[in-house]
Formats: sequence, C-alpha cells, structure tokens
Amino acid sequence: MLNRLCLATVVLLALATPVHAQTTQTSIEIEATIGLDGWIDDSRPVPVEVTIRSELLFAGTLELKSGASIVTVAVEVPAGGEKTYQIMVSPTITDALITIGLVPAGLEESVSTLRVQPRRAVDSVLIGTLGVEGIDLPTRTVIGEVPIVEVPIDDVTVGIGALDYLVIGGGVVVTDELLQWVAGGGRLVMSSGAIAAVDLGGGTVVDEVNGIRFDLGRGEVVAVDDLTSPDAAWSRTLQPVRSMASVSDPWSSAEVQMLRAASSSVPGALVSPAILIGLAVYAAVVAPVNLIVLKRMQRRELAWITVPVLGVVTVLVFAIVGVLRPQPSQFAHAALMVGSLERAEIRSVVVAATTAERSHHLSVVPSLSLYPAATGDALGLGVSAANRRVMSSSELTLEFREAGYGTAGVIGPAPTLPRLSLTTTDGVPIVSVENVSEFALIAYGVVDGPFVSVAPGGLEPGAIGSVEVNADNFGQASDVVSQVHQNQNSARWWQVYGSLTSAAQDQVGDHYFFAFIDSLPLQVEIDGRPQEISGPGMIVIPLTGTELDDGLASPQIVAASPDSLVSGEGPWRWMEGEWAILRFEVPVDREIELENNEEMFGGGAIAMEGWDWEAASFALLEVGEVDEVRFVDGDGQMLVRVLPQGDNEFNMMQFNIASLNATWDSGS
Amino acid sequence: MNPILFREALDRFRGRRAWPFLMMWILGNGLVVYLMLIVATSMGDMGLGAMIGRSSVGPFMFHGACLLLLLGIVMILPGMAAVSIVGEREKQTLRLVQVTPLSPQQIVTGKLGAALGYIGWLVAAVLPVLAAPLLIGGVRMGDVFGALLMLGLIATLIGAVSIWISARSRSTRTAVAGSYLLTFTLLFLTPLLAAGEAFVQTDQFRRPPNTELWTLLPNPYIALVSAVAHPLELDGNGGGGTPFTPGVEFLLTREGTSTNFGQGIAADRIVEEDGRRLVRPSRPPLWVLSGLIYLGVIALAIRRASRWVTTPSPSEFTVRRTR
Repeated sequence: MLNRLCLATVVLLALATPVHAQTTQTSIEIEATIGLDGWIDDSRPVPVEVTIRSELLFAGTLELKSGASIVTVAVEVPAGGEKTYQIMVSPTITDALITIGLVPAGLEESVSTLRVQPRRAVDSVLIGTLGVEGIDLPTRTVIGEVPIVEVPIDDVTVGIGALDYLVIGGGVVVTDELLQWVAGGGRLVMSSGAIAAVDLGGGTVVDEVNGIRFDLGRGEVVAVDDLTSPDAAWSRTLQPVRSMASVSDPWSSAEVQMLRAASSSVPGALVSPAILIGLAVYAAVVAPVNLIVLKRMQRRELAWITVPVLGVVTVLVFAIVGVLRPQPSQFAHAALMVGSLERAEIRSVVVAATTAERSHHLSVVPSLSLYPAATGDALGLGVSAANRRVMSSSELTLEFREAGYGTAGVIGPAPTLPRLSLTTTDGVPIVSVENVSEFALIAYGVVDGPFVSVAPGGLEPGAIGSVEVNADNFGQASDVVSQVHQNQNSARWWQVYGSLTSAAQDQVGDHYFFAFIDSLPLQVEIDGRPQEISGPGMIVIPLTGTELDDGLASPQIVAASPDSLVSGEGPWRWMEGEWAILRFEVPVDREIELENNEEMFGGGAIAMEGWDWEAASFALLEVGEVDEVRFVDGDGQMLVRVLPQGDNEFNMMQFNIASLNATWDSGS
Repeated sequence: MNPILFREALDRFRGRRAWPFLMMWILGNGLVVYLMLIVATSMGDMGLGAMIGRSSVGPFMFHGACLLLLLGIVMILPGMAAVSIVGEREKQTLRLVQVTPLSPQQIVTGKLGAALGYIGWLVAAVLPVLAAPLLIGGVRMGDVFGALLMLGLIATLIGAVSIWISARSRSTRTAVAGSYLLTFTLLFLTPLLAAGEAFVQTDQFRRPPNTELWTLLPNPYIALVSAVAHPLELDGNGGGGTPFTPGVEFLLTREGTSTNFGQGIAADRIVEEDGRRLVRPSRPPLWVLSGLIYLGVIALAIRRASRWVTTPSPSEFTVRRTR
C-alpha cells in the first residue's frame, strides 16, 4: 500500500511539474532596452534595462548571453507584478545579438527569451530631442550629406553617450551630468533664451556670428534662436562630428586594451630554470642511481616497479613544492584616469585568473560601479571565461567552470589628479605640472597629434615639473616612454603602457597630457576580505591643439563614404574608401598652410576640397596657403574633403591621414 | 601471468643500453616539454597578457605532450615489436617456444604485452614531465583519460600490426622496415589520401564535404585529437593555438561548423552544458569510428600472426624424421 502511495505521489509530481513550467512560460513577459533606444556608445559601459511581468510569483535568474559571454542576475517578481532591472555590461558584449532569458530557480532551461540587437551610429549623425515639440530636423547634414537620425528621449541619465547632438527645450533643466556629457565631447543645442539661465562655468564663447557657441571641454553648447522655426540654422548647426576614430573592433576597444595591460602587468613566472634542474635531478635518480642500487641487489627487474614509483613520488614533490603550480587565483587591474572639466573619472579593468573551478565574489565601495567587462569570444579567444553574476551595481561574482579568467570593470570618480597650467616661453608651449595627486608619476609628457614630448624623469607627489611641447619626436606616449626607460623590461613596458596608451586615445583624442603610475592601488573586497589590488595606471587630461599652439594641427576623420575602412591608432590611420571629410582645429587669427607629406608617409596621390563656409559648398583646395576667410569658421574649424585623384577608390596604404597637416606660425 | 611476458619482463633491463636510453628518454622529453612551456608562455604573453595567457599554457603543453607520446610510440614501438618473433626465428628459438604448451595466441599476446608493457614503463618514467600541464591547470581529467585510452589503443594497433609483420617476415631487417613503413603510412599518408578524397568529394574544394572522409579515420593524430576534444567545444580549446588546433578545426568542419574568424555557427548547432558551449553532434564521434577500426585491425593482426606461429603439425615432424 505504501509503495502504491509513493508511486502515485511521484506520478502526480511528475505530471504537475510540466504544467507549472507551461503556466510559467505563458504568464511571463520580458521587455528589454539596450543603451538609448538600442543605440549604444562604444566607449562606456552599456545600460541594459529589462522589465519582467509575471502573473505568478517568479524567482530565478535573468541571463544575458552574447557568444561565450554570460551575465546573470538573480530576479524575483511578485505575483501579478512587474520589476525593472538595470544592468551595466561591457560595450563589447553588444557586438553580437544579445539573448536575454529567464531561468526559473531549479530549472536549467529558459522559460522566456528575447533577442535584441544593439545599434551603432557609424554612418549617421544621431540627434536626441528632449522637451522639444514641432522640431523639423533635416534628413541629412549639408556638409558631407550624412544621414541624420532623430531619437526622441525622455531621460538624460541613461545612455546619452551614444548621441552626437542633444536638442533640448526651454523646460529642460541642464544638470551637471548633462554638462559633463558636453565636456566629454557632446554637443548640446538649446534656444538662445534658455541658455542665459544655464551656468556654463568654464565655457567660453567662441563664435557670435553664426549664433552663440560655447566651448566646454571637448564639446560645445550651441544656442539657436528658435528651435521649432523652419528657418532654424540646422544646416549650420548640425555637422558630421562622429570621429571615425571610434573603434568597432573589440580587440582595439579601450576596455580590452586595459584588460591586456592588467594581464600583462603580472610577469609570467611559470618558466623557471628550477624546472630543468628538477628534471635533471629526477633523471639522474631514476637512471644511474636506481641502476646502481638494483644492480647491487641483483634485482634489475624491480625497475618495472621502482621507476613508476619514483615518477609518482616526483610528481607529488613537484605539486607540493610548487615548482610548476601557479597561484590558485590571481588578481590584477589596470586603470585609466581621465581628467575632465570639473570631475575626473577612473576606469579600471580587474582580471582574475584561476587554475580550477571556483567562484570569487568581488565588491567595491559604493562610490564606484562594478560591471561585467569584456570577455569571451568577443576577443576571439579559446580560453575559458568566467560567467559573471551581478549582485548589485557594486558587487558581482565571477563563476569559473574550470581554469580560466574573469573580468570586471570599475568606473567612478577618480582621486585628485595633477594640476596643469599652460604657458608659452619664446613661442614654445610649456605645460607646467603640479603633482597634487597622491601617486608618484614614473613618466609624464604631452601628446600633440603625431608628436610626443616627454619630461625628463618622474614626478613625486607634491613636486612640480614641466613639459616643453615640441614637434621633435614622432610617436605615441608609450614609444618615447619606453625609450626613456631603456633599463626597464621594454617588452613588458610596451604591453602594459602601450595598451594603456591605446585605451587613452580612444577616450581623449589626439592631444592630451599623460602620466604613468607603476603601482596604482584599487581597494576591493574579494570573498568578503578587504584587499588591495595593485596595477599600472595612466592619467590622461585632454588638451586641444589650439591650446597648445605649437603651429601644427593633425586632422580627425568626421565623415567618410559608406563602407569605408579606417585602421590604426591616434593620428596614424590608414583610410580606404571613396571620400572622407577631415576636420582641423586651427587658430582663427593666423595664416594657415596645408601640408601633404604623402611621400614621407607612403600615401598616394589625393585631391582635396575645402568646405567654403560662406558659399556652403566644397571648393577645390590646394596644398599651401589657405584662404582663412573662406575655409576657417569662427571657432577655428577647417573641413577638408579628400578624394582619390581619378576615379579609383583609395587602397589601403595609399592614404595616410597623418600625411596631412595644417600649420601656422606659432612664434617659436 | 603469460610466461612469454614474464620472461621478457625479466630480460628487459639486462642489456647495456637500457639505462642510458632511459636517461636520454627522460631528459629529451623534459627538454621538449620545457620548450613547449616557453613557447606557450610567450604566446600567452603576446595575446592578452601573461595572466590570461596562463590559462592556455596547460592545454598547449598537454596537447604537445600527447603528440610527443604519439611520436614516441610511432618511433619506438615498431622497432621493438617487429623483432619479437622474427628475432626468435633468427636465433632459432622460436621452435622451442612453439613446442611448449603455450598456444599461438599466448605467444603472440605475450610478445605484444611485453612490447606494450615497455612503452607503458617508458611513459611512467616521464610522469613528472607529463604531469606538468595538470599542475599548471586548464586540463580536465576526462581529457587525460581520453588521451591515455586512445594512445593505448594506437600503441596496441601498431604493436599488433608490427608483430603480424614480424611473424610472417624471414629477416629482422624486412620486419622492421615493413613495420615502420606501415606505421608511417598510417600517420602521414592517410592525410594525403584524405586530401585526395576531399578533392573528389567536394568538386575540387568548391563546396563543403557532406560525407565522411573515410581515409582519415585510421589516422592516429586525428583519432587522438577527437578523443581528447570530445565533446567538441567552441571555447576552451587552448587559446590562440595548440598542436591540436588543426585537428579540432577539421573536426568542427566535419560537423559543419568552424570557429574561424568570420564563420559563424548556427545557434541550433550549439548546446550549453555546465556553462560550456558544445557543438551539437551530427555524426558519430570520430574517435569511436577510429577505435572500432583499430579494434578490428588488432583482432585481425593477432589472429593472422597467431597462424604464422602455430606449432607445426606432427606430420611435419614425421616427414623430417624420415628424411
């Protein structure tokens, strides 16, 4: 009787389980938004907002999968209710389709899945509109005829990094976050009436002829008389601004470069002469010594037993002594600290590597955010990557299935950075550096387009130094710094600081102050224990070419023909396509000359056209003196369209962007 | 215990060269694995740095060590097994063995066991070298068992075939040459034959192959890779490249998939298991097919070899006595 009862219970349970799963499946809905209405900013963590509605109580896991990268969050939705979860993820996860699934507790299969595809505004100008009704935006920019995409938004706190322009109505409050976005390179458009009420702090009026424009950091605030008027000067205001420098290859992204720097900062200790010595001793014991002993015993056949036993014993000795065994878990990080108008930001990537299956819980102080960083097949690696379980915005768990690595990104306000001031002596720009930070700078200097200037030696906390900015050394920060520190392990220097330099270029452009820190501590809690992870750091503070006024400006690509290809880093870029529009930042009160050093850089023959600001069209432009009245606008902007001579498209190696320069007499 | 095996075991270390050879064997293997450690570490450093690259050092060394053992088997075993019976014949001791109560199968399996036992003993001697990848991490015990199983099967195959050649040869030189020729054919000629088969099958490589490349199934390298890499995984194959990478790429192509850049894999071909992304198999595992072929050939070789060492019939003795 008891057996029958048990059997009946088991059958009932077995029948009940699928019914419950079926009910769950039909009663759950998920909605997801990535970035800003699907548009994402490659240079920052991407917000993913998932709303779950359930008729029944749902407890389980929310899974975000993109290739081998898996991010999970524990979720619980009350019966008949809905909950919204916001997760920050690495921009590299968005390279492919993201599958979002809900896995009930105790089950392995998702009961509800959704696939979302992030979008990147590669060949268009993305314009957000907020609090503006009746706005009539053109479909293409006048310059370059780049398509314009309008994205109406209702919140400026999420994902506006993806926008090129943000047009706001009079009722919208300009917050500090919005001004920070502008300082980082955003362009804010508002009505002239509303702008008076905004405290633009460090902003400077740069042009009052074509409407009031304020330079603010690397961005600008533009005032338009009437946003809704069909006559609004959109054709003048909206220009192609998206630098083609923005990287779509995950390997070149800032996050992956920092990941590489962190991983390279730990020297590989596996290769050691001790291993060879150990093996030689083993060979000597197993062969001659063993032979002599067995010969004396007149029992050579015992070698069938003694040799395997000695082998096993030696393996155990190796394992215990640790000749070949690396640390079970190792942590490292690399950080980039970007100075901005008022608030500096630290971005760090923490890497953990383990030798076996285990999990590690990481947390940072609440002022910092922790998110799943680049990993998995975004990098084309066949190395096993840990799954990341997000607990909160400052906590996550790395779940290793086997030996492999796991990554976490940290973002937040940076500690105090060195203070800079710019002076000119005998026409030579000099950047004075007061190291008010708590870190010793092992090397520092200034990158000015294709040139780099490095100060002799380092700078201790509290010390004052200076960098004479000149055009003597071609290269990036890491090139010259590794030459300065020839006694260092240069390969490691290149891997660590070269990677950080690449990451910095993606964040601040081609003109910046930089400083390297050998050991930057990051306070984290690992498995509940406070720990300090040490790693290399780089400080970058953006400068503008005109601020430096060294008599030379290198261009940035702001638009290119569809399907164009750009490769390389910083000003060292190769271009392939039908045409490209380059922007030069030059002083407005000097005589400008255009140089084409195509022979030096191996570039091919190109034709050039300059944007005539008066005629609002491109006109033929020759190498040599430039007519500033026609080709340089009020804020020192010169746009040059490069085309192939004849009908052929560019080939790789035929056009090097670094070969074009605008020069002027800086007085030096 | 098989008396032949017992006798061989007692005599194995009597020779003068046994011990210097053991020392060279350990040092040679140690040096090669140490070089692999240097290469794997440098490759890891060049990719995403030493720390992440460390995860690929273990698999790289393990795959390299597996290949090293395979080469060891291919280079040593045919030479040993090929002389086992023909050597007795040349020393005129085979008749003595034949007239003992031992059956022909016992003689052949005894000789085979002695050869395989020595190979096993050599493997045991380099355990500290082979254990390095396990200590470094990134290698699953399942992979180790898969490799040992397949290496054992390959060794048995080569040993059995060599003994069959030995049994039917008239001189040691012919037996050794024949054994090495057959082994090298198995290892190096089968890929060439498979390339020819693929050329025909795929209309001169214009379309992907849709049937099995039968000529590649007996290849020991591909069988070993298949045994270690089973089930086929999309990640965790050892980073930027290991000695098994060409084999794994072939196995993925055999399943109609690839991890090469720009070649996507359909979502319905990926199965997730314990967080690993596996390829949903569309064909029987190659190592199973290879294993079945090996077992068949081993049985046939032992049977054929046994016939060659069968004790002569009494009538034959009678005829000789008459003469």
